[in-house]
Amino acid sequence: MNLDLINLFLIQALTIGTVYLIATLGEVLSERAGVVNLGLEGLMEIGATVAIIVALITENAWLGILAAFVAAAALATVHAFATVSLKLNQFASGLAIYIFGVGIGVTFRGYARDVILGPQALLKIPKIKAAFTSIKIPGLSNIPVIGSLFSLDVMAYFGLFLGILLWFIFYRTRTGLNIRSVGENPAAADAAGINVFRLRYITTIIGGGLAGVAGGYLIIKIATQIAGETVILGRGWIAIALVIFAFWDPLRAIIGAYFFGALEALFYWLQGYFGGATVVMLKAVPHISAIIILTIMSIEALRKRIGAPEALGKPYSRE
Amino acid sequence: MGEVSRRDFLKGLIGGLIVGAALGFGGGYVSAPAKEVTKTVTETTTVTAGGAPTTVTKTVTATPAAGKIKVGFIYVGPIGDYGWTYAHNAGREYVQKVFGDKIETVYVESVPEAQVGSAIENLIDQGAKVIFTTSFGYMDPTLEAAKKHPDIWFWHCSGYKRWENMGTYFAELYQTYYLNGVVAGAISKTLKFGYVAAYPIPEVVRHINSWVLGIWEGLYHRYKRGELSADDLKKVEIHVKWLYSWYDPPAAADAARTLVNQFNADVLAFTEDSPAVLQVAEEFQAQGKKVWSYSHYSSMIDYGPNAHLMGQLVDWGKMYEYILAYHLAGIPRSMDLWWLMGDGADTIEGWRKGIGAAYYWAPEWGDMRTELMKKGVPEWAIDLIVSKTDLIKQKYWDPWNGSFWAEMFPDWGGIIDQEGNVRIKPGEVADHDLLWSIDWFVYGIVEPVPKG
Repeated sequence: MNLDLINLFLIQALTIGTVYLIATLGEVLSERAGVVNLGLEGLMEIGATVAIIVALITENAWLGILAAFVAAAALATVHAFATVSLKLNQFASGLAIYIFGVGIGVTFRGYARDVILGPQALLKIPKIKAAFTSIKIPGLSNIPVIGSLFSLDVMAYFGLFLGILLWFIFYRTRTGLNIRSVGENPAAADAAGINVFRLRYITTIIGGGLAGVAGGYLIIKIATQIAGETVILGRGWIAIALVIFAFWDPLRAIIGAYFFGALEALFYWLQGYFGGATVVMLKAVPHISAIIILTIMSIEALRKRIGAPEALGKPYSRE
Repeated sequence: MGEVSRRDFLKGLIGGLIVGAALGFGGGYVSAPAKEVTKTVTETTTVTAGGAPTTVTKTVTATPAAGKIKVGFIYVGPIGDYGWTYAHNAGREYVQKVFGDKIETVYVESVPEAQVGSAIENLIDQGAKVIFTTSFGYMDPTLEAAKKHPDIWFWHCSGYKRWENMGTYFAELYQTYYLNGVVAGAISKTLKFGYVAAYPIPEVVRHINSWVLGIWEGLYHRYKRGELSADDLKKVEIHVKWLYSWYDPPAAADAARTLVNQFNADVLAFTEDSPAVLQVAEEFQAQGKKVWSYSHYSSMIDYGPNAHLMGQLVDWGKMYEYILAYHLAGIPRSMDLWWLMGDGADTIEGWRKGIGAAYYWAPEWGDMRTELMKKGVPEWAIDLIVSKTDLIKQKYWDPWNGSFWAEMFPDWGGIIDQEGNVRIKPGEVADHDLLWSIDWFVYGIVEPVPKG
């Protein structure tokens, strides 16, 4: 097989993987502090909507991504308030965020297209997409296989950097230790003088904001749409499954996200060699693994063994 | 394709005296198969042909609608700004304009297939007398509703089940796919073509095949003109990527990128309800790589002004006008309408000529010749498309015609499949049944049709 083709395939895989990566890292952050956010799909949808609208109005993709972060973070604040302050069930609140996010995201995108943007806005798409043009690092980008890592766009590098940064924070800083202890044993952390509520708020809000960034990147880079129809189509759920796949470790999340990105890209690439029917199974792999992973998650003993935060999903209240 | 039954189409306007004038249908017409008309003979009335003084005496049971008819539309997606539901809604807006205060249209969008039953009841409750259900999955619930409400009329798009008060209608795109293929064959530099396909069902397979046959005709003319050698023709590859989804823009975009990256395809066609594939082509154009694509069901040109060639479009408005004219005239009947290019309500000027529901060039795109030449489509190809369009509309010619291909490619000896077996022999023309159950790919497509 042609080495150029391998590079092209890997670039595609890494690009899709970046969407998963950013969303997964956000969820890792909030779950490490003990808050499950099942609303990822909705946060990504909101992020996608806000990103495309702001980017088209300002003709600046970065402002779009920033706005996506802010909007999704705002919605995640609701989740934090419900689960941390009101101590409601995290799963129920997350599902509400999911339904609300997708509904509002899709509806508002359709409304914005008709009322705010108008058909002329479509002509600006190439301009905003240009922000995510891949940067080919001379020399390095020509190396077979590894070269693909040096031919990505800024957001893909940001995703990689974020993964490494989160790992560093978790395992090399006091803040990271605090976050982890809040997720493992909030009562002990509280007794040690750590502000459990504040940390859970911060991680949930930033984690949710990152899901918005992932949605914004998806809509601007991969499928630019202003239609009133969902563009996330289950990818938020896959990101949630990936968190478990990564055992709540940011570095493993990088591998997992790229692996799922590669699976998604392989689905199309392999059709050329084996025909559609043979690889149709591949399309089911992310979803099947999501089911397996969530099943494992719900078995207490297994959960402990794979290192789930002890207090994950449990609201904390001072006795 | 229903040619025989249309041969005895009435010229003129049925019930012209009853509704024609009132509707301001000036220059308009409604025609119907004569045998059907005679089924409902009870009362004599006069028919005026297209406003011409010829009056024919015909007998029909006509109970013109008293007051406004409320017409309901049920859509599977949001009315959006492109695609399947958008096109149906544009049709609704069109009939509302044409029939003015004679009808009142209402619609419900984004109705999941499981909930269409209650959407129908809801519309009936609001007073709808004619209901259009516009998704294949609505078929059985629509039939149930038709049995339950004999006084309400139902029209189901793309299905095959009918009832006394339920008809079916569909606009078939294979001819437009063919002409889109001709343009692809004429413009391609790499001689590699890609198709992003939804599901391996006959409709999609038929469209892929028709597009590929079009490509071969485009390539053949380049070969004849000395622009391509016989060896070049051997290098032609058409690749198909399946999505297993009708709507998934990120997936369609990735499949399209794969076709370009993996096979160097430079013309991309698709069956997916979003402009994602066209946008990917535009993306490559922006990077200086000439990749082309199309509009699907409604104009998508704004999503890829540089990469956009033509499209496969449907004017549902003309079909809705045709169907509703029967209702307004008070002579509704259950029909199975399959409109190709040029099928449909036949005009007085030539009964074989029609309006048609399927087309490939939207007037708002400007002058076809100028625009296509700007993009580098050779003039001979445009001439070819124009003349083919005429022949197809007049029903003098169909791409699924064995003799045509045997003559063009003698070593094919007809229309051949991927393995080279002759599927349509000289002298044969693929009939409706073959095209509607087709499960094999024509020659040139690399991947097999997925089975099962």
